[in-house]
Amino acid sequence: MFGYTYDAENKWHRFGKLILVTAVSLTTLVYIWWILAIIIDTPAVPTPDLVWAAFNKLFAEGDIQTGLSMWEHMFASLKRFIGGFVLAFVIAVPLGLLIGYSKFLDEFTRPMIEFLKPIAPIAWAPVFIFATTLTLGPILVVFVGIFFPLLYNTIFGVKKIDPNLIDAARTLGANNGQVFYKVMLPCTTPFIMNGMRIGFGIGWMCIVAAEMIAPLGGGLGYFISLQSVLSNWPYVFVGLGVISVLGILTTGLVDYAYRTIAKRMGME
Amino acid sequence: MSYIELNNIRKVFRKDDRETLAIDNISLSVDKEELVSILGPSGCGKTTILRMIAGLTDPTSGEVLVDGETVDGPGSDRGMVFQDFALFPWRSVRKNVEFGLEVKGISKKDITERVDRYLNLVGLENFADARVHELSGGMKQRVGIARAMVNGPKVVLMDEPFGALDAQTRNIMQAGLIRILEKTDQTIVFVTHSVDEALYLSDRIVILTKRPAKIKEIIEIPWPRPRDRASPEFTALRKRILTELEKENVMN
Amino acid sequence: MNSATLTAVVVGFMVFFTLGTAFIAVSDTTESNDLDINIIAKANINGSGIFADRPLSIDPKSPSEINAWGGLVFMTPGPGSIQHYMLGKFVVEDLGLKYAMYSTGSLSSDTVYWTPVAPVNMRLVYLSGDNVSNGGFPWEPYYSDIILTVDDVYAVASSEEIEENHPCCMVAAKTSFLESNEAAVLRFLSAYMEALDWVNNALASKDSENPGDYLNLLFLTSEFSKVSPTTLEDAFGTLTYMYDLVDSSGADSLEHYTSNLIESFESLGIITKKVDDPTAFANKFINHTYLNKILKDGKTEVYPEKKVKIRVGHLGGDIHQIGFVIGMKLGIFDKYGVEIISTLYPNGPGVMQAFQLGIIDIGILGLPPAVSNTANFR
Repeated sequence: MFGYTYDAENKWHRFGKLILVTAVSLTTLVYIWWILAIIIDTPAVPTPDLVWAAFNKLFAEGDIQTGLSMWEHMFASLKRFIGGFVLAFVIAVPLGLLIGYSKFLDEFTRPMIEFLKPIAPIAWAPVFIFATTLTLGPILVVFVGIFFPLLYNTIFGVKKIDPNLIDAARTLGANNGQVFYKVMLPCTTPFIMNGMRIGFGIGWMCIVAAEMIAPLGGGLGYFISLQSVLSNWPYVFVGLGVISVLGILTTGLVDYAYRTIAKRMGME
Repeated sequence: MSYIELNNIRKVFRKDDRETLAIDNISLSVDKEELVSILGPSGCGKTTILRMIAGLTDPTSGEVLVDGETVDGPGSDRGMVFQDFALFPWRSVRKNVEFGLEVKGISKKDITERVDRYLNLVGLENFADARVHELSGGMKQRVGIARAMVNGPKVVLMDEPFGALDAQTRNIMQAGLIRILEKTDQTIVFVTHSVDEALYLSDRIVILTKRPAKIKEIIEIPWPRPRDRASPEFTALRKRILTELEKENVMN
Repeated sequence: MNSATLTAVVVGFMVFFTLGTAFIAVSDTTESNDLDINIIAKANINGSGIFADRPLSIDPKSPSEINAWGGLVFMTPGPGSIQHYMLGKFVVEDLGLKYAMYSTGSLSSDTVYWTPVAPVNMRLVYLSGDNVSNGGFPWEPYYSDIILTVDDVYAVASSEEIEENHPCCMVAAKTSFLESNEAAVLRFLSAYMEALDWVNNALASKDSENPGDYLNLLFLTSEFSKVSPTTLEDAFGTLTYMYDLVDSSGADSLEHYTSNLIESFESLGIITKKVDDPTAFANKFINHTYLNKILKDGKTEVYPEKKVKIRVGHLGGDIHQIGFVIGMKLGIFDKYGVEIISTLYPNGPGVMQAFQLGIIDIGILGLPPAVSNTANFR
């Protein structure tokens, strides 16, 4: 068609197709949204033109109710997100390696983990926030959101290690510590990355829930809840869009790292 | 004097409260620079014997001696080559071969020198920086052999090393192993279920019974290597061993 | 994908986008300016207060008394609440300081900071290890509760002392409900007025020889708000229950207060849809018709045979609205033939969202969320 032949083995053709499909997909989404907004006809579902106007206003003037710019809201949320992630990472990964390694620890901690895991991280929000502080609470909520997927995947990763690799390392003279660092850790890395990938998605849900309760110094979750409380629906939609983009960026980053590592290890 | 000694080895496995006698009182000695193959019906405990020499499995009773010392746990003086290669996928070919020297804390310069030598020996000098998943099966096992030998072990334990390869590659690998032995005089204990392979490579073949494994017969192969698989004495001996093994077939 | 399918897909998208564009272009997206909600009576005036971890003056005579406020952080129920609005107005107009959201970092001595916390949580947050807040501006009974139960806390001022007889909670009704259910509205208001009269009489009987109604009020209010009667006795002192939309004390008229609020909220960015004529909006928003009718013609008949059902949203634990709760508990609404289906909400915006969802007919909530949400939700 149009005298053009798509070549799946050409990198530029693939890139062009990706751009085209993404553009058409997003345009379709906007059209569906616009048409639905008109049909539903309520201020709670604003049309895209109103949201676009709100977007421009917010990024030009900031959020004048709180006196914070959108960047400051984003930064506030991102700080909590990174805090929660770092905390989850430094606890879940070593713990997961140990639990995966030790049969006793696995049996001992399994009832606890199985009991705590089904509790939605968002349900912890009020508990953590009022049990600790407004500063630490939201970070802990994000922590719980990321902690369990990370822990689970790490444990799973350790259990999936080919025992032959450990035997091979030991017959090559590696001691227990070297087996841990030079075999178990690299073997588990793709699984840890996968846990992060899942955890990041949940982390963003948690941050919104936590900031609705503890909005110290702003944040996107607070911005959204404040605007919905005031019926400023176009602003709410801008907030939702910004969170989505931040979510895509952070998850995309870890996804890229995961795929790079998986490729190096020949997992594909 | 024997270099590797197995004295009255028994091995009992427990699973779900049921005990199974896997190895029943095996004694065997291997001389220095000898290549001994262990041949037997599948599931008879060949690999278990190899793992006991490596120190990865303890015998229930009896003891294993290597160069006069009792085996207690794995060590770099007993290298092992695995059927499924067991290469570290996150490391390059060179880094895989380096592993044993690296954990020993040998200086970078010495490591590079030795690794180059062994990569040459197995013919992978042009693939030093390749990633493991880019290699063919035969190349992967050559990495496995180099990795086990670079440490200068007293013995290399080979657990059906060519079992996962196609017939043609297997023949090439066998010939390659013989060329390596000409240069290194390495002591090797070799587990296989291929009579042809055992005959082609070994100084002696140990034939095991079906489980619980006992030594059925030890056959000396006096012919010099490389051997002609088509020669009458080769085919005759192969036929005899196959007949012996047929009697041990668990299906009977 | 072969050429024919590809062509079909491309044509399909073209048709979709063309029709979609046409649909969007012809549809009338101009907003109606009809109000969704009207105010039909008051619930109370005053009834909030500022507490702090240090003594502060709301009538500063010297620069040092003004400077004492600088760099302090106060919890408010958040933008759009009367407390938040009053604190901001006081800080900017009376103290001449800036009013800004608290965010981590250094605090400037020329600014009073706010941080949003629900009043029910203010005590917990104040006592938690954060040290982020120096005080707060909750509504009753949380103000009295904190003053009475927290050590080393100072009662800076009741809201009445900051702005005399300021409006607080209101009875709001869905405009469409008012227009089609006049009789039901009149019955509701009659019962509501009687309940509020009962509350005020009970409060007046406190020091009389027969304080039975007062004790009953304390008991019923404590049961509803889960706050101790001791605290409630203090809390009642800062509150005035009043249904009349016209304040005879000479305070600002509710219409004027509302139109000022609209202008402030526009400049604060709380109202984002421009109100062209705030005075006209306020006049339309405050609806005297029903209350006046009862004041003129008297309350509706009691014991009518047929009951009407009215869905009412109000705030959990909030004693500003205790008149309505008492009306239910004492069966006054039943007496007027009104069956109340009541739902509790955590805050005024919650009530407004219930209005917007169409799940309540009448709501009792603060004036600011009623105004801002009505203005934005047009």
